[in-house]
Amino acid sequence: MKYLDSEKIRKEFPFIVKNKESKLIYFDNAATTHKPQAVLSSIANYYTYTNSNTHRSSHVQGVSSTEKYEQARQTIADFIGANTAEIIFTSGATDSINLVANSYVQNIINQGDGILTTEIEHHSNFLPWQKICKTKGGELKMISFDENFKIRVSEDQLIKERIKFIAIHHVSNVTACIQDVKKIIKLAKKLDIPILIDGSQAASHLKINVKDLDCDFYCFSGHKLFGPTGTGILYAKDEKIRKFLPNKLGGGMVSHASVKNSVWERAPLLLEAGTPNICGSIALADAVKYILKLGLDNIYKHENMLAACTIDVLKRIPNITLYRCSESSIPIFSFNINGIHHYDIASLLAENKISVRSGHLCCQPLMQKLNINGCLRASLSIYNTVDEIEQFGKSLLKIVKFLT
Amino acid sequence: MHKGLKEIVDSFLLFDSWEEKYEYIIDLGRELDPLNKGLRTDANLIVGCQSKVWLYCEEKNNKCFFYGDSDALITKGLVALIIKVFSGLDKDEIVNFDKAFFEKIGLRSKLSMTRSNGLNLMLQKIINFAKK
Repeated sequence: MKYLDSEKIRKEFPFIVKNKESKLIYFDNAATTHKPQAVLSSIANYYTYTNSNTHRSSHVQGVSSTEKYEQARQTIADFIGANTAEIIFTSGATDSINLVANSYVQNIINQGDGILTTEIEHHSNFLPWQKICKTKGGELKMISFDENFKIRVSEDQLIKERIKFIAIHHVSNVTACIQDVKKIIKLAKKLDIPILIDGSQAASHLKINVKDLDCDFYCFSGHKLFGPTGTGILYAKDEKIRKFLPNKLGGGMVSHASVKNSVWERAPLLLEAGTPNICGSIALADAVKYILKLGLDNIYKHENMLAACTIDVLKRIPNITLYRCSESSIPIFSFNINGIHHYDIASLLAENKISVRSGHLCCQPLMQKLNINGCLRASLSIYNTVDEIEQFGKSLLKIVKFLT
Repeated sequence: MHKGLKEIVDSFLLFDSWEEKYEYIIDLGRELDPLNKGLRTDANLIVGCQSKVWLYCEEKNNKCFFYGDSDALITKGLVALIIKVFSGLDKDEIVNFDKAFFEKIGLRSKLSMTRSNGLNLMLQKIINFAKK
């Protein structure tokens, strides 16, 4: 059964249309997705009709720009069930996590305190915590995971390791595992430990409600959910955002400034110093509207179908090792073919006009844990088709034969 | 044009498909003399390639010689190709080498971007050695 009309969707993405004749197959959507015409038009329209600085100018375009920017914040807030004052526009998930690290976490970590994360994290949700532990004398602790890449935290570990902050992924960019974050958040709340959820690989696939999750921080990048690059979101719970000390100072984040003293603006503006990415944030809101128009339930079911097809195709490949949670519905597939270097396969797939990722996927601690130097990753999105999956399987079989 | 170079140009002119081109490159890698284990050091590792590439350069009797290896089949073939092109030349010949050579034989256009970057890094190391 079809939940989304992929042929109709493909026509809405100019990149896909432009590459129709060359039959390019784009399976690197976990890295970044293509943009629908609605987002491209939003960018063009902003610079054609609105372009003015926000929160400063009282002229017509300035007011319009501020209104559109704040409407975009409202759209994002509604998308994840937050209040607008809890939504901070950033340049991406990396920026969001670094903001939490530099404006909040480093002020609460002392000698001997623990920060808890996992070896499955993307480097962006790993390196900031490692740095804080090194500079503040804290200890970076790991959550263990089972053979299905599901993480398990116990109350005992949180107490014994003096955990003062937790940072985990919602969906892994390698294993596609959807973590039971709600359960872990509940445990963290019980012990009053603030917790950040990296939703970079979740936001375009799953319905997110931060109030229902009850996390303190949730973040994602705009470019992975059909929005422009250089856009991102940080949700920070109201009670936590009040404790943030801004690490970027400048225009737009003070209500009063004098030679003797300055008074910060209210949140979230105090965390958005300088001219923000106005156009990008408005276009990101239009990407969210595009997703909502398709319906996250439909996207989920459609991607589930694509995932099942891809699994069937990959099962036919000899000597394949999949690094994937068997329960996942997310169409991300990391794998190796025993005896063949992942880079050789990715290069020949590129010759066959199939774009996949190869390497450590910005997850070197996980690669070390799996005892591999990297892998291939095929990641699909709403505009990918069953025919493309079949073609991918055929090319992969041909390449494996060629290289062995 | 030296013998090794002519051989490569002649071979590449015959290829129509990616399979033929890659088969040739992989075969070059298979024929490459194994790199002395003592030379598989971090100092000889080219940083920036997605697969591991070791390239060792030395000068004997005013000629440059290169030795290398890679953990990936195609990259190893590229290492072998580079060695075939440059090993035995003097420093002036390397510095003045026609930079467009790899475009002319259609190698670069037939390789994915990152592979080209790996090729660029190898070339850069060889040219830097010759400029010393």
